[in-house]
Amino acid sequence: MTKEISKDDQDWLDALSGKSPAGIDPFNSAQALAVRKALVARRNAIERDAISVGGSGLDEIRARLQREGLMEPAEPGQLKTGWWHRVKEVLGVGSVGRGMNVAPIWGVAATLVLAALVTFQIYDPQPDEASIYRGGPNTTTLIVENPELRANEIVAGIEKLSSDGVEIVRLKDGSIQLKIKDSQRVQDYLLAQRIEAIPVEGMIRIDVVPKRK
Amino acid sequence: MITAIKSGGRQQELALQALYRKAAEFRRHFQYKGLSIQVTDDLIQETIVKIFRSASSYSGGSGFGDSSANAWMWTIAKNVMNDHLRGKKTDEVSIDDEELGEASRSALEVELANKNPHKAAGQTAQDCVTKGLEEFAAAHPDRHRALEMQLDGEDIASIGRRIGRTAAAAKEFLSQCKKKLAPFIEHCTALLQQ
Repeated sequence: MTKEISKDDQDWLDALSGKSPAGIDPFNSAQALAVRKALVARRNAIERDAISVGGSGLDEIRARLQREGLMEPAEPGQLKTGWWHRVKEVLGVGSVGRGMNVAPIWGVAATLVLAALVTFQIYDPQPDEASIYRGGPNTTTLIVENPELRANEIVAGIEKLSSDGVEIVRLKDGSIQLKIKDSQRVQDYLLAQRIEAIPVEGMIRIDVVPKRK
Repeated sequence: MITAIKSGGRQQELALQALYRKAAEFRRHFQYKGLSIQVTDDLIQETIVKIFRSASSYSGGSGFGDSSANAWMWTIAKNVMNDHLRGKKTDEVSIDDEELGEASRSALEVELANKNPHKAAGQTAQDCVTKGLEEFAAAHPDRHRALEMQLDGEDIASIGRRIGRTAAAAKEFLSQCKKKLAPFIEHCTALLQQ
């Protein structure tokens, strides 16, 4: 049987979620705010650190798992971990010589959930869907199988250059808008990602849109 | 994720990548405990290998979003770290999850936090809470995850669905999270009151 929680606890939880409960105890409020800041900072730090899939550390672990018989040996081409390989993985296009993989559902699901866990979420009013798919003349639109994953990769790369350089807006249809502060380094990075940046008044906007089924 | 690890092939490779990303949480905790980057990398490798090795014996729910799987992986990571610390220290403090009750473990975690070399005498209230939260996240990964859901403003019914409880029970669970967090940050009280 559950019981009602106290006003103090309810106020604290409300303050944790960013609300300002009426009549909240000042200490309770200060503590909730400090915990809120700590949670956000911790999550952002982990997100920044979680981007290095494909680094030598992962290769070493994979090799050890295979040596110890805990993981099947890779097929030719499976271990490529560049950006194009990862896009192909998410799109379900297999490694060289294997053709299309019909249902990499578990892998995509795991990646999707992970991406959701490590992404700082901002909820915002939703713009007109039609404008997203049209894309404005000043917007770069990426149509991908997994917007969460792709946006996450871009954000991680940008945040390496500037910790507050990108704003993320999630749309109800699964699209993600990225508003990025323009700089030469940012443009270089995006070019390396094969993304043509269109700076307008110091900002670059990229819409990452889900591929329609 | 555990299911994917057990399944082999392509799914196993994707699970490894996802797990390597998740290991950023463990890496942060290891470094917070004062371990070097080199040691941390070794412990991350050990943790992932142990998770793969033990996956077949895991009997809880599957999937990355499953809270008990999250707690299970955290337990492995902490045990790997504790094994390493036991090998390094003679005046060790055991926080083996198998041997201690929750209260004792929490107290020892706080004690370890207080011994942390990063602890500065002139720290701010925010620093203090941040460190306490780091300990809390490692000691109670599921409760930490629930507080993150609350942080995001997630609806209580939605939180309930994710943690397998009714809305009323989820609210009570969150209230308990606050109480569980309290011992980890109670030494920050004076700083917060300032």
